[in-house]
Amino acid sequence: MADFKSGLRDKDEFSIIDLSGYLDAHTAPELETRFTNLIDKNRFKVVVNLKDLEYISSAGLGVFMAYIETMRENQGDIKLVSLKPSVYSIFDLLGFPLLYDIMKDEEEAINKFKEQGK
Amino acid sequence: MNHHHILKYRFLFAGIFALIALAFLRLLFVTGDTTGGVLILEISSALFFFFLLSESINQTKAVKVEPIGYLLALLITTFIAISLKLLFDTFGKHFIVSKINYEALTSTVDFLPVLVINAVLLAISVFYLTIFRHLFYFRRTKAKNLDFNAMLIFMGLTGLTSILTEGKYKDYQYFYMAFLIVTILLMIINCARIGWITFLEKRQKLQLLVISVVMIVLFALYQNTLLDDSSYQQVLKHYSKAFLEFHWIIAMYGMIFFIILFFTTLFHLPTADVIDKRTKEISSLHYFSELINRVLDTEELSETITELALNISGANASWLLFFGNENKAAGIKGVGYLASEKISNYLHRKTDFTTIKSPVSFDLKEFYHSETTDEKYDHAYLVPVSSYSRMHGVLVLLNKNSVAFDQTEKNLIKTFADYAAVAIENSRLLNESIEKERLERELDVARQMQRKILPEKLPELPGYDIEAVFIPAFEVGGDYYDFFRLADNKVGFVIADVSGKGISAAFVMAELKGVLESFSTMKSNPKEILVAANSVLKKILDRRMFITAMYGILNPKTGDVSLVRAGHCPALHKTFSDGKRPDESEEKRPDDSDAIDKKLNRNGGFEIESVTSGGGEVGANKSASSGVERGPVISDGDEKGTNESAAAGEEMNPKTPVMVIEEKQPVGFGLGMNFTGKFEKTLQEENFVLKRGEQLVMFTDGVNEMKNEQMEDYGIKRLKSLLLNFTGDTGNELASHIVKDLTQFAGTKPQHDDITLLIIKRI
Repeated sequence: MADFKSGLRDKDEFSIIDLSGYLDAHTAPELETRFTNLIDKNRFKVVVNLKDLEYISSAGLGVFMAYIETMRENQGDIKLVSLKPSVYSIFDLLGFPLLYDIMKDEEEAINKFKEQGK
Repeated sequence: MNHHHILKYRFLFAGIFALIALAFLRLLFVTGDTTGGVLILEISSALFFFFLLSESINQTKAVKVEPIGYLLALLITTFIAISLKLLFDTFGKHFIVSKINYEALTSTVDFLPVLVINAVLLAISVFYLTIFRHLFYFRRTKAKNLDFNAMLIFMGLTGLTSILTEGKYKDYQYFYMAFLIVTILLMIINCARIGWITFLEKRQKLQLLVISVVMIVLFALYQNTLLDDSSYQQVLKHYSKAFLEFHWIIAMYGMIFFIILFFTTLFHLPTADVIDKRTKEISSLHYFSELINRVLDTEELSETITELALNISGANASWLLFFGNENKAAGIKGVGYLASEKISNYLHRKTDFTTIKSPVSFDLKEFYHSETTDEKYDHAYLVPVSSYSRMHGVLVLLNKNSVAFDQTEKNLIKTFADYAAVAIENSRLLNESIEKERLERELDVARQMQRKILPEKLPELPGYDIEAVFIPAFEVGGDYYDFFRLADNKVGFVIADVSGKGISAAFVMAELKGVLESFSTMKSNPKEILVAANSVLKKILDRRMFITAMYGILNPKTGDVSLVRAGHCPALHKTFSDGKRPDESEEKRPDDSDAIDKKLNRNGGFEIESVTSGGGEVGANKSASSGVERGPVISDGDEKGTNESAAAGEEMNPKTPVMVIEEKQPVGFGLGMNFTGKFEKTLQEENFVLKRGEQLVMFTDGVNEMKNEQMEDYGIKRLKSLLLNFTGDTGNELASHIVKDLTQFAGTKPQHDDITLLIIKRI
């Protein structure tokens, strides 16, 4: 089983979280910490790169749900990019694409942010 | 109880009987100047005395008193005895009317007070000897009856032969002398048996010295009063010369005993400190080894460890540093928190604690160059605390003494630290198992709740075969299904999966059941029911939690089904291909996913299929609408399993109408994910007819996410082909067929989520 890892990069006003491995009930708190830290620093525009994410459980999905409201209330958002098909199918089944911006890559997500900012 | 009382009184009765008997004999042989008369009197007195003594010893055997207690009892008794003598010397003449001699004693007036005095003295003698005997046997396992009993016999013989020292028998008094010498020798031997003083604390030894001096003086005084020529002595002597002598010998024993005790204690005094310390160490270790087996939390344990460490080592301050706890000090003793932190930090800079294998000593001189603490310490001693090659932390001991610990102390501290490590390990394991048990109990409750929430029996619907399978995971997974009787004989059905596990999931399930039950009767279509449910769940659900659900209403008469899906796994409709209405499934793609479809197609394969509901097959069979899997065409480019079975199905029944599996996946996101109008706006309802011979299968992700040993998912595709090739008749058969396949697939891999299957077959 691939271990879970999360990394944080800053690109101007945007924060990019890289996730890899398995995001489940055990590893979800790590991602939660990432989000709370970002909120503490008033960084609300978040792109989550799921390029290397192998699996996401309902507890993992719950993390996004817990923080998206705060981001949006502060003129930010959580945008998900570069999903593997298997991971996308999980998001899709749940109806995430109806509520979240799920995009091809980081560039697209940042462009969308810039567009929304106008 | 009763028996005990009888024993107690037996002693009393024996005493009274002995006295009466003696009085009677005394009266009988009044003159007492014949040899025979004196002998009978004295021997019978002696026999009665020993009878009383053995009674007394037996009666007090069970009483547990420390030696000091015995000594104090002796002191009081001696005091009473001397007081009695002084009182008699002062007031005795008022009681004794006649001149003291043998003849005078015949008058009953004098006889009574004399008898009383003798009785008291008899009791005192018995008491003395009882206590001496107990002291003799104190802390002795091996009985040396002979030594003590021999001494008693010789004491008796000395008493008896003392008659020979006066009057006409004077020539034979060497018998008396011989017996006296032997008695004194035996007394000295027996008095030396006072090993118990070694184990006394220094304080007690000092007490002992004082008591000994007082007792030596008292006994010497007492012995002397028995020898003077007072009326008291006269009375006793004329009553029984032998008894007086015997009593005097007992007093001598007392004096010898205390002289020996005094000197022995004096010689033991210099070593008392060392003995004190060793005793403390041993009892500390013993106490600690007992503690190991008791329930203790880590904090309590730390306190105990450091306190005992101070006891054992004689250090001035102590605390524990546990690893993995940012070296936070625990159980700080004898020093302030700040000082302990400063010193800990200093030591941490000096050495890496995790590499300490054996105790190390540090001079704190350097520390005090730059830092201060309330009190100054000279040495710090670090002892590793490890068990089974696992390091728990270090024990820190601070010493104000400029001399560091000696080797014995070091060894002892090391041994103690090993004990401590075992205790810490035990407490850790215990905590783990308590936590585990708590979780298990919680899961039990959750499981019971889930059982009660799920319907007890399935609805009986004429013309339909309804089957449900529920296999709970060890951790309650939050699966829920239910049926509702609606107006116009319609039936509502729901299958749902609450995110999260255990008791919190079970609670949400219970809420969901209540919400759905009430809205099912209030609202007429499934969409309205779920929309209403979603808005109510806002109050209940944690932001992280959501529920996937599929709600449908079936009209049994027509087979009309209207279905909504809130983020749940698709329903599988096994339907006749000729009855297919392509427009139904074509419309349901959301715009967003079309772009994704294109992007993802290059990957091909199974995963995409579930994304796009059969999108992967679009290339192979353009005419088939998405969401439909055709029996005959499935062969192309797919896994061999499906291939074979599909072909077999065709061979077996070439003439029967071709059946296909339609994935019913109307748009809609999970309950509790969003509470704005978006839920209602996006939720789509799908309507279709369940015709005779057709089946509708619903499931939770416990089915398609079931893993095998290679960590592969069971997948919706496999379920679809299984359903397509199923030729059995009843829903029950289909259910067990699916469960069997799931079990085979999983192999040894344990099930980690609830599995729920809902099958509606129209007959």
